[in-house]
Amino acid sequence: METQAQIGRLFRVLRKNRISFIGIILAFLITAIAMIAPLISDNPNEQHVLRQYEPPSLSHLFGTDEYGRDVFARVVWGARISLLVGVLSVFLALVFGVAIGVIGGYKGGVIDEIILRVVDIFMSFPILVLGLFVLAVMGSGISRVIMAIALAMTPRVARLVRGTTLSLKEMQFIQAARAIGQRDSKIIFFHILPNVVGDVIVMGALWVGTAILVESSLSFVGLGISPPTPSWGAIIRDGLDHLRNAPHIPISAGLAIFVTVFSFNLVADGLRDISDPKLRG
Amino acid sequence: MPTYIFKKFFLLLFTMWFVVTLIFFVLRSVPGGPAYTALGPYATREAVKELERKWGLDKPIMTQYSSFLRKLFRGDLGESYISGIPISRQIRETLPYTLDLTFAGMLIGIIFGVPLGLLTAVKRNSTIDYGGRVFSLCGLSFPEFFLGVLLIFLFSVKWKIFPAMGGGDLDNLGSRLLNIVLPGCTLGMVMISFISRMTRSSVLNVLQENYIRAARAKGLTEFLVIFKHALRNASIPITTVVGIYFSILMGGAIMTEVVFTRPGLGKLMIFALKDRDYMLLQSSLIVFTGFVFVINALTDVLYAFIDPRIRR
Repeated sequence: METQAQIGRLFRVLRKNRISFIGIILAFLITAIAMIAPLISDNPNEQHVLRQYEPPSLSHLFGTDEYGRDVFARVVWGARISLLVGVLSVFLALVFGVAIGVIGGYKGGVIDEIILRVVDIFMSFPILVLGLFVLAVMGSGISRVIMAIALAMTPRVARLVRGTTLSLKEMQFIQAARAIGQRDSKIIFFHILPNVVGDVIVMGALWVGTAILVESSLSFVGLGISPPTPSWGAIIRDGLDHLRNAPHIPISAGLAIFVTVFSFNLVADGLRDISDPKLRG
Repeated sequence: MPTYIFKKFFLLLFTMWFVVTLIFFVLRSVPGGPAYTALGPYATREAVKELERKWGLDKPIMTQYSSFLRKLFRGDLGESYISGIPISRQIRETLPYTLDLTFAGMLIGIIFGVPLGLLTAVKRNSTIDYGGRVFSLCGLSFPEFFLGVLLIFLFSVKWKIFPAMGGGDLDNLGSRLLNIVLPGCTLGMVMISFISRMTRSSVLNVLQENYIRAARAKGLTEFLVIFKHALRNASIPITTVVGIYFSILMGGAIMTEVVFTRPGLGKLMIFALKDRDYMLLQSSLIVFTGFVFVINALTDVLYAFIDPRIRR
């Protein structure tokens, strides 16, 4: 109930905040395009070797690449990969991060101290390096990329949630729940978690953007999603060798990354303005 | 203060030990082991065994670990599994390129980011503010490697002003500078976005303090209020955050080095990863993270130095 009311309030305020509203519409559009990708092109890997490096035209909106593949189709299919990786990895990170953060913040003591130390250590690694490290051990592929990014982001989620839990713990309604002798598990599930959700949603949007950036970086260095699966980072890497005669290849994939991450950042930025009244415009 | 520094130093040592140990054990848990991965799926069992013997991987894991720690303590990073070149030499050769790049990125970030953040905070909710904020959001949303590709396309392929590849000659200042321009701008762009956002929010926070109201009330010019009172106090959180962003900077440096084929530490790490050279990967990861941790600890100390409230 509380969560529902919170989310409802969030959306009402969101509509008033123009910046994040544009972001939401953009993110929604991109998701829609990703969903109907099979209608746009049934096979992004279809090759027409005689039509190499064609510049953008009406039949090939973003031109063609070195195998004569339609770059537009690849970028659209790439959106599916990016969104899948972005959303799933953040979701996994949220599940683990919230659990770790709530336990640490609520229990306190030695457990909290250990969690905090380990989380701090992991946070000083660049996300990209953590991702690379995990992929070095597990090998590449889409599910592994998702796991690697989720692992790299979990400490960040845990850190945030721990802080919120700590401050919630001192609030009167939690103290009251304790005073009437409610069990810890009940307090955590019914009082702490619903109040953590708001914070997590705000940062979640930002993290999805970050996850998409990390995925494209991993694929760009050739350690993420393996060809011929169309991933934006990989499209840019392949296009880099043909920058002179076919700049449209990396540019269209790069713009796709930019617009997607930008839209998520807009949403996050708007949400943060709302949640931090001091900075509200 | 000395106790604080001592505590930080001890924590840094502990952190480094933890990370080094983690890297050591995790890299040895690669399915099939490093030797198998290096040789590929067609290698015979005997070949893998032979390579493991050569690399000392056949010894008990704790023996390997203690000899690894002992060597590391003496600064011996071992030899590359594949080329046999001492890794400390490889790192010595690549480090200047990474240092140049991170320094340039940070410098550009501070020079442009702080004024931009200050301007957007002071002119809050004006067109300038919105423009500046959208600009910095764009910078955050731009993958640095794509920015690199765009810069290469414009300045190297089209207009042929700056070189697209390599790091230049380290002993030749001209070539060193010429080669840092594009990578430095690529990384700097990201830093401008982070730093200007941080500056904006901390200046906004400070501007609401009572001492600002007092400064205005006693009739100080707005210029003095902003530069003497607001910016000075806001610079404390900015300093720490610049330290925190160092890890982002280092992450960005890897991608920038890859795009510009700059022979730095990040490129070395990616190279080791692709070549499955686990010894090189292990050492470059240790140096890389060690670098980040030392800088973070230094920022903490610096922060405590500026703001006595932290020293508790």
